[in-house]
Amino acid sequence: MSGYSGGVDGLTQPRSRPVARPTATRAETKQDTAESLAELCERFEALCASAVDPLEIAAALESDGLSDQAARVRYGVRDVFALAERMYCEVPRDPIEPDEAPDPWRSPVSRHLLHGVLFGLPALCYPVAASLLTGGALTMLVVAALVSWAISQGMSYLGHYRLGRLDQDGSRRILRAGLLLGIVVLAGVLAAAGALVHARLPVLLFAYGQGIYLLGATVLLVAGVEFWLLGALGPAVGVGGVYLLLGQPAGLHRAAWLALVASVVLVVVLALVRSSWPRPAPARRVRLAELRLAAPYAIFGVLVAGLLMFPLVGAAISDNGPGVSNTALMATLPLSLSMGVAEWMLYWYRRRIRRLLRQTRLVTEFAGRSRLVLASALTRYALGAVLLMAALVGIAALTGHHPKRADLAWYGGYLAVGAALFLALLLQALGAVGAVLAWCSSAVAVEAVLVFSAPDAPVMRVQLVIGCGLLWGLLLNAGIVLARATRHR
Amino acid sequence: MDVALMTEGTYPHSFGGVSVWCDQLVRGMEPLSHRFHLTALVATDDEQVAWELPGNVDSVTAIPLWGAPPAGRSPGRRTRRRFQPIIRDFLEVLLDPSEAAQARFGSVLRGLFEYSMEEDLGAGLRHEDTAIALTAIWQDGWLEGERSAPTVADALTCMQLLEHSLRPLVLPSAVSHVSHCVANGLAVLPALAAKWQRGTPILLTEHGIYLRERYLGYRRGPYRWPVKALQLAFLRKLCTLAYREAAAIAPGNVYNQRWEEKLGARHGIIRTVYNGVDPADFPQVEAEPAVPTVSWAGRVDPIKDIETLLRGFALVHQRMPEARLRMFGGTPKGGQPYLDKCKALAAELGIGEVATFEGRVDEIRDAYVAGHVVVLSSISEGFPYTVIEAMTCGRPCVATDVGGVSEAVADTGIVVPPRDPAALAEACLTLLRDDELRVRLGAAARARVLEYFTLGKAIDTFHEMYQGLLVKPARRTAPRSDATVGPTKFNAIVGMVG
Repeated sequence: MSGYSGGVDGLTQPRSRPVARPTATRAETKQDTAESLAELCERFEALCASAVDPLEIAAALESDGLSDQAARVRYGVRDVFALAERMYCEVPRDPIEPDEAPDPWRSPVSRHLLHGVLFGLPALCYPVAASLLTGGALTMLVVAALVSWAISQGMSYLGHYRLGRLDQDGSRRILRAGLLLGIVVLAGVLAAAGALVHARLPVLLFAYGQGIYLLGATVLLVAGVEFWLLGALGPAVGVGGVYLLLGQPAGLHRAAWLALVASVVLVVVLALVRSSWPRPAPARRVRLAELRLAAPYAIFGVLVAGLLMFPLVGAAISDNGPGVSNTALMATLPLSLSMGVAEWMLYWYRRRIRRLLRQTRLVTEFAGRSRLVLASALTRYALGAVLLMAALVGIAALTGHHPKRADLAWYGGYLAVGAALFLALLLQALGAVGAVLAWCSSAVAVEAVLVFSAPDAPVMRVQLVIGCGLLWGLLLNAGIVLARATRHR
Repeated sequence: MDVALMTEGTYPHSFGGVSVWCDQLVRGMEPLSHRFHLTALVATDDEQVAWELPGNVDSVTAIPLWGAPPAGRSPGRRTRRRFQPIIRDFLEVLLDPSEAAQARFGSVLRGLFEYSMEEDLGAGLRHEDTAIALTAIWQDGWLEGERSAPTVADALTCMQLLEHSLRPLVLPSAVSHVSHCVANGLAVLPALAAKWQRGTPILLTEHGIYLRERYLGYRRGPYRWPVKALQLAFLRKLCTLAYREAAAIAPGNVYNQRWEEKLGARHGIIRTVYNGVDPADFPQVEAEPAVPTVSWAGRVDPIKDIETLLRGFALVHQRMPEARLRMFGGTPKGGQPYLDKCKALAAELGIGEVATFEGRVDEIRDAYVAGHVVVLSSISEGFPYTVIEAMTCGRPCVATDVGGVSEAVADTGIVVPPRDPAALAEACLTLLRDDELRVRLGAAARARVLEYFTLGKAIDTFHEMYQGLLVKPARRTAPRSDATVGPTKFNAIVGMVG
């Protein structure tokens, strides 16, 4: 290397040009520089008050066009760095708080309650099909539920996942693929199961319609067009309402079936419309890694379907009756409606936790207070669910269906399962997917063993006990996992 | 020899001045048979290589800073116990402004690096233990109930920023004879790793001062004071460490040296290497426009301080009504409001007719040739290509005294203080009125470029510096191109080229 040190070889360095410099004379007194320093501090007060060190001030002064030369002449200091250090000492730290970022968990209550209504309304269609639901009907309904819940949970996760990455076309592509796949798979599985239990064709078709409806509804909900779904449900719900009020009006039979078919077709058509994407095929294909991400959610779907179906299956087996009890089906209604409350509480919980993170200074303090928020969210959900159940029991009583003492166990069981599902959703939303699967699959396994080994056990008591057990397990788990600050990044 | 060229947010994934410089360097080194391994810090994993790579680029390793974290297991109890003192030391050093802490920074950072060779550093940085440690250390700094006190949310933000910032440390960098960092900051992390692992010497080039730009960026940032303070402390200590660990520092102008030396770079290892122009691209132009014209070229951006330019020209216009101002250059995304503001100002000053915004030109040369005088009114610059290119065409410049401008112009033009319309106007009038002076300065400007600021000279200097670094270390074994030394857990996309 050349004998280089510092400057540039042989280069003249006219650091100060005579032309148009602010000419300073030695006549400028110390007082002048003190005054102008005060002025400068005043001009840059916000900067100095928020600065983390003198270098931050130096950077800002330089970018404002102040040179070392100007610092010397105007403020009597060695250079910009020295000036910045003076200013850093001169102005006390009083950082300006940045604007609060918008809360991503702020969301209108009405939307969540509408979701609850949309989850609950399909239950109104069962009275229309009551005469049908005999023989192998239950098997068909269970099979349809398991398959459609699995696919819809998986595609809903992936749809949201891509929306979260601002890939709307990709989200639509996933949803459409899930819908079409579901329609085909469901047909195959139901045909096979139907052949095994010799199910009648109308039963088969009803189960198929139920499964397809769930898939289409998932597409519309992820796409955020709740009112389209509400409109599509209109015919089926209307006719279901009439059946509930009038019993089984024989004359309406044909029209009622047409209404059910119309709703299912409408939902599927709207779902296809909403899941189309404009250009030929710019949307990203489904990747294997994404499918792996979605798998736990699909399994969760199967487990939830299992938990909800257990009382129906159990009741059918222990009664040795071939049919599905109408009351059992209707008892799921408040539970479905309460899922709207669960969703609302999930947002509420995340808003409160977000605020708590901004208010606490120690992780230990956060852990303690976050458990209170969790308990509060769970209590609020449970209250909402109890109110909904009470309202429905009241309506039933008005229409002549007086509640029996034995029904209490039904409602208790569903309440426990509902609260457990709320916690499961909360844990899942915060990334604790594995724990949720472990608890839910244990509960379903115990139920499955009981159904076959002890068919005489009182189904709803079993559901109540297992529901409470699951709730307790998930609550313990959430109490540990959700108290960690790093869960809430 | 093999050079690992390390960049952040520039070559070869995006365009801009620094990327042009990198491209010129790599291409210029091809005949001198230097081979390059590019290590590029990028934002996310879906960024594409934007430049056509010359044949002497052997590999491109992209390190995404902001992609999703690699899926890792939560550390076990023993691992956690091992990580605790390491991260605690690291955080304590960051929060301590003393020179003693700066001296320790190298060893605590190396502690993290060595941990990352055997364990998943990212998982450790994301772990609850780190949040507990940080909030506990923070307690001493603030009084009870103080408004700006750090919260748990701030701790989470800091952990996230640190985890993303430290990703380049964990990567197995290409084995090379020299690590050439094109910027200070995060791009130095892989170079430090290579130095600790294999003794590879570091050459640090800076166009702008990385740390100064971060200070300015965080002023507008969304973070609360404790977060800003910790992250800037990390960057300040990292940049300082790099200045002290580098075998040679090659700033793009003498002006940058002030920050480098302020932060502890030894004077003796600093050697300024100016940006270079290929004189063939900018032949001398004798002919001048018919009407007295001042021309300006650049991006329409507040940093260029077009307002001072307009105010200055308004003063020129008063004294020389026939003079014109022609401004060439595109408006970047989001820059439209600034352009509108400038146009409104021109109209208000009564020079709307004679001061024109002419947008992008295909040949930048045309912008320089369009004026008798080329003006630069920026409030911040490194070593602007605009000035040396105009000089190569034989045009005298009137330019503000920022960054390396006075080094470029010297006595071949007029340097004025920034934000001083009167001085700018005076200088323009001097040159517009004095034909003899203008011609003399123009010729001197071109001669100065040919002597000091040619591309060939820059390439030769770097070649010389590479050779100089090569002799110093004891090990002179040729690197095996297939060797991948380093930790087993990393998150990178490695693409082989050619």
